[in-house]
Amino acid sequence: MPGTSLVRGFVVVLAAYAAGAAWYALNFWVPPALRAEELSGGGLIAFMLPTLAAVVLYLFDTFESRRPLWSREPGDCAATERILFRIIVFIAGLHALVLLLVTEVLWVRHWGLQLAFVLIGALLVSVGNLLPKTRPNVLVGIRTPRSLRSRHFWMEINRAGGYVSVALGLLIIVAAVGLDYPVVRQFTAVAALTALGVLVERYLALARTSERV
Amino acid sequence: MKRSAPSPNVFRALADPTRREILQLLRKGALNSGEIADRFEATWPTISRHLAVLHAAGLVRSVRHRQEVRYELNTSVVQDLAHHLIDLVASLPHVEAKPPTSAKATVGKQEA
Repeated sequence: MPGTSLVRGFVVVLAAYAAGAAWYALNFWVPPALRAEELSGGGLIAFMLPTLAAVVLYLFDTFESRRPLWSREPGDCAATERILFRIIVFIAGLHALVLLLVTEVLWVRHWGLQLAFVLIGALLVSVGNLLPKTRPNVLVGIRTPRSLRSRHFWMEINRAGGYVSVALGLLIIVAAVGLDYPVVRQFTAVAALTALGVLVERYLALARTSERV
Repeated sequence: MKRSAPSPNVFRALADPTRREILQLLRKGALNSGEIADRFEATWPTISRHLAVLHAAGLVRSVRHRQEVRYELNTSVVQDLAHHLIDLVASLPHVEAKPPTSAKATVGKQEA
């Protein structure tokens, strides 16, 4: 039986589908140049992201039903489920942003792009915050042969990953709010590469320590 | 519809210096309650009560390992930051830190 976070995830996906269907069916409300039938792939815009979210949920639910194979502790899955819910909310938020841009509710396009970066930053912060609570699993976290072999190493590297993810997310949000779009894109690329470097360095340091113990 | 009981405040759990020390200890790895109690002057039942408060706040998890129950750290990044912030404020010279011996009284008060 799916947990509370998964049930909420299904509700969010249904809402995203409903929003997409409403946009597709009531396209006479949008400016003529942007009517669904005149857009190449109106259906794609209406349903692609909710379908992606539904597929992610379905796959997770399938894996969760096989949980006893890869997780022995009953509470191990709670953080993973909560992270999945945040990913679903992110996809739904992106979907809403696309619909708002297409219907010209958000009339300045680069604001929309900056909002997309805010969403990405928020996802990194909320997922990174929960990353230290995850335990070895098949879907979410820093999964390497070493981290899957040792529960302690998993907890340490995912704690480090959580810190890096939260810091990167906050930087991206601040940059998206304070900088112009092209600069935000470059800033995000540099920040993401730096974060990856920090994480790799931390991984190697933790691996060396665990070898010594 | 059955409603679950509200979990104790995380900040209340972090307010006690002994509980913060337990969290610090668990960073190095999972331990059972006896191993944790060995590192404190307080008695084992007192440490057990502290662990119960941390467990109820969701800051530690109990995991069955062979015949024993081990406790492992279960804090999020924000809870970690709150932990460090409270530690920092408590270490400031003008803030009088509670001696660890008063931990028993704090737990007793919360339970009441």
